[in-house]
Amino acid sequence: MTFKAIYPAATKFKYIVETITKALDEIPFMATAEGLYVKSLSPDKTTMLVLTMPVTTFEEYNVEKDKVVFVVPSDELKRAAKRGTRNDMVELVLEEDQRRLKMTFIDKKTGVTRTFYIPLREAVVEELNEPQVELNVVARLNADDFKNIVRDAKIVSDEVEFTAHEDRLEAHSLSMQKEYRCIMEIGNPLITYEVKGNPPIRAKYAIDLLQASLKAASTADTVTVEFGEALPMKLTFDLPGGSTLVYWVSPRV
Amino acid sequence: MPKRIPASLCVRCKGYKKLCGLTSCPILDRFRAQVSSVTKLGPRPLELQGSTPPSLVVGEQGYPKVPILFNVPPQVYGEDAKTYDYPLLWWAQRYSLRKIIELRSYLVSSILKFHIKDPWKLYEKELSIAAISVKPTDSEVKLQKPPIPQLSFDGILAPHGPSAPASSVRIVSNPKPPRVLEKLVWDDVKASEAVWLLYKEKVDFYTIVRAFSLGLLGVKRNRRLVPTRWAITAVDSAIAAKLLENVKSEDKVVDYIEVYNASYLGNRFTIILFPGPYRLEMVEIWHPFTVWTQNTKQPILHWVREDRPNRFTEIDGGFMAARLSVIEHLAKRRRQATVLIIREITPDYYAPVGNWHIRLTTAHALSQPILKSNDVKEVVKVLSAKIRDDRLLNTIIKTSKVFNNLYAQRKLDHYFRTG
Repeated sequence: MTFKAIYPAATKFKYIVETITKALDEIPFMATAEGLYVKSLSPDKTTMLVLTMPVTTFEEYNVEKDKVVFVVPSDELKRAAKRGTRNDMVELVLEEDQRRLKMTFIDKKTGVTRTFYIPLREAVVEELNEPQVELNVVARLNADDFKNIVRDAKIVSDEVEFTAHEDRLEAHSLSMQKEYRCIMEIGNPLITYEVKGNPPIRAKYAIDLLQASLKAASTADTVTVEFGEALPMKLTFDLPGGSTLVYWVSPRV
Repeated sequence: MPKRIPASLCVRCKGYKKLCGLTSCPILDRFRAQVSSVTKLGPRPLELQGSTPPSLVVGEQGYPKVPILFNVPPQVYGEDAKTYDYPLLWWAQRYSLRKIIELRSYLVSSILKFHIKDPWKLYEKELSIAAISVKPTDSEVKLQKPPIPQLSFDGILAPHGPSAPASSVRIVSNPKPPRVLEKLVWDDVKASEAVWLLYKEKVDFYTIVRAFSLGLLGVKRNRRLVPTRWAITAVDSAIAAKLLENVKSEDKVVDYIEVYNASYLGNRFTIILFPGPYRLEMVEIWHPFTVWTQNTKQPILHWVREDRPNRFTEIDGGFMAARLSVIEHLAKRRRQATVLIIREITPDYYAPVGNWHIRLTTAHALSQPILKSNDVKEVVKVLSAKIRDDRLLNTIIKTSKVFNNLYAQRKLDHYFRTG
């Protein structure tokens, strides 16, 4: 046993798993002394997902090496994670010699345990950096509001342009004879808003790529949107229990 | 002096939409006159006996009172008759255009007229059952007059031979419809659901089309005869819609840019799958001297796009056929892809024989990629070798929305390097 962790709420764990399995075939977990991470670049290199579950989000956390890496098939993990109920906590134990991940649901009231063994995948996990860019626009809003903007814009076109002015953020989408514009200001619906540099700052994104992040929006309360002039967009979702999910979306030029 | 019809219009119309405003297509009329039927009716030309492969076409002229063309190769019985309407076999044996036309010209079409609201009348006469049989069914036909030895051609349907109005059509052996289809005839299931069930049970595509066309599927009180041309496109899109639901729910995309290629009957297909959400774009390149471009010196390009799933710039039978094969491929791989299909039509395709070969050739092409790469330049190099006309290729790349998106969409690794 090189890695063992107990996550206190099986339903929250289920949401987190559902979010990442939506985007990935295989989930490359990396456990370090600081926490459990997933970092993956989509095959077409247009989006990147970074999940961070710090040690503090776990009830018990133990990793025997500096870094333990294991790859789990997403459909198997999802199927097992779905079986968790609100009374359960989840115990994850990596059995490296058996090449499997042991996932046990422990009923907090009755102590009944149910165990699933998920076979590991043989795969090479690439060390990935996150994009090194300075993003001058930072806005925080309700995850549901963000979801609505993306869905609205999709009715009109397959891309949406975000423009940051000093006092407002605009989402604009345009196609033949159709146009959509959403103006966001502090309090309506932006919770916080900050622009550095010289506004207006513009960047365009494919709606389909933004949509891939919406599953996370249903789990998170708020989302922090960051972007710069024709630079990637960084969407940070605060997930239940202190975990964060970052989605990087590359721009259109 | 008659007005000259631009070839670009003919390429869009394919003799079917009557975009030139004439009541019948002058190109097809001219072509029909050149190709004569080789049918031998024997000493009694009004009496016709033989097995239907099965082959039955619902026409659309005079809608809602439509002609039903019951096709029989005279004096051909049993399994031998099957060859006359068997696109899968034609394709598998790589029959030439000449051979297909010859085969089809043997078929005699006896015409009956029915109102679209009377599908059960056809059923009572056992014509519907014979049409969905898995094996040829013996029949006896009495014609009102000797058939005119001419073929008719179409962009969606296979050509059919001489035809004459029939006074009676009798089925004389037992038809054998697929069991699942026999059950669905008596079930009150929505037509799209029924089509999906049959597809899942691996019932032959054209049997599903004939069942759909003859009003054997759907909610009972809404059943209608559906012209076969419409039915082919309807079945193509009903199956594709179901498969597409699965494809769209997949968040995974193909890992590389993949290029596929195949050709048959003077049609060259190059299919390119790009990593990305499901979108489909098809360009038809009609080279000079094909059936629709007799008088042009330059290739004519015809674009059809599905900018968003199930939203088309126009409904084109060939596009829908190729689309089904592509969606089947993606559904099997559980991947999304942005797809560009390049269909080149060379002068070797001198007669339109329906859209079946498009469906089958694209499906075959997708069985093995000729290139897998993440380098667009490499892809362009392969395309250049296939299309053999750099100016034409440049025009395609400039006009293609798929290529435009590819160049416009930055990759994240660009920011790892510059960081």
